[in-house]
Amino acid sequence: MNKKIPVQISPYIRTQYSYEKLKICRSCGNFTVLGDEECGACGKSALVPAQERAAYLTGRSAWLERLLALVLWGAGIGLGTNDMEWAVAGAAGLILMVLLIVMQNKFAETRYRHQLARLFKRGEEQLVEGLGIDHDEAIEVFKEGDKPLAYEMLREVGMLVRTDQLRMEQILLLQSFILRKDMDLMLEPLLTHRFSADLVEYIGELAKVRKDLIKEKAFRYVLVHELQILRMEQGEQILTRVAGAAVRMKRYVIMYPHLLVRYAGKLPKDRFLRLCMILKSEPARNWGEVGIEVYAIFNARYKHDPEFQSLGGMTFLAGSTRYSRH
Amino acid sequence: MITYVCLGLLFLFVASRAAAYYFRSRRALSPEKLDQHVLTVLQTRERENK
Repeated sequence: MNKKIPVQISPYIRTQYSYEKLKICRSCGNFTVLGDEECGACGKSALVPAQERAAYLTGRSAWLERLLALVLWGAGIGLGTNDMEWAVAGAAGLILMVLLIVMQNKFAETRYRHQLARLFKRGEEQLVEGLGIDHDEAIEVFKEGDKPLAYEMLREVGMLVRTDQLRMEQILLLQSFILRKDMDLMLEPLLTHRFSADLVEYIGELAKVRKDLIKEKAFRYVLVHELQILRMEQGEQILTRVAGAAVRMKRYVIMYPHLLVRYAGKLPKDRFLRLCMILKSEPARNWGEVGIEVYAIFNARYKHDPEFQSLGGMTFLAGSTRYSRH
Repeated sequence: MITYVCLGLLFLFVASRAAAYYFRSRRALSPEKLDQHVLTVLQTRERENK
């Protein structure tokens, strides 16, 4: 077994949209997500955020249009031959100039979005190539031995290039770290389409240190691959930990009763107490098989435990049936 | 006379810009769709490269 290392990982800066992380090279048009000043493709220090570039291009095109309009207006006045023509050219030109500026301001937001979309559509090749270069750089950093930095770089790339290969690379790196509660970890973006023993082990680790990260998608993943997980050396332990994470919220107890029915008996005392408290918070509900299982475990092990006395013997579960009435 | 020609050109220019702005605003992708587009491009190309 590989020795796990203690590491410091920088928190991930989240953005509302993934493309907000992208930078573009003003020189070669290559995209990157790693936020370096120097472009990985052409080597020039010309990287700017893609949104900033789109805003600049939008502004530039607006000024060019204004300039062209001004030239036509100026020509109209300058080529006038009498007072009438000058007056008409001056007044009509002013109205048209104001109209142009008002229209530009009114449609500023959609012009900007159109420009941003054009930047991405025209630069599809550079986008794919640029993120490929970012990925290669991360691998290079990994080979040099800086695993935390390599993980941070892969995490940035992985938020845009959502492939199982990148997910697996991140999971393997995370599995070489000692995970702590204060680390900015994530799970849902790392869930692979196929079964992965490394991912399951990572879920098991998270169930110890960051139960809050185990949500619907992770529960579904675990349930779909339950048989394969059980074949793993620590499979049952991991599933029990995941069941322990499910008792964090009543919603999960209701949504994933089968997980709890199968592993409630192996839950540590504090998690089982938490499960009992969730069930007691809604005593009128028919908790179905979970209720039957919990009641049986309670009677067999915790009936006389002082910590469980406040639950009043869980008598409300005595009438639980296999058929839930919601 | 040339003044009126210049004014006519200016009018046509402003009108064409206004029309372009209007049609672009109707076709402009929302930030959500743009985000989806970027992700789709990257996923599709990644699969093609494999």
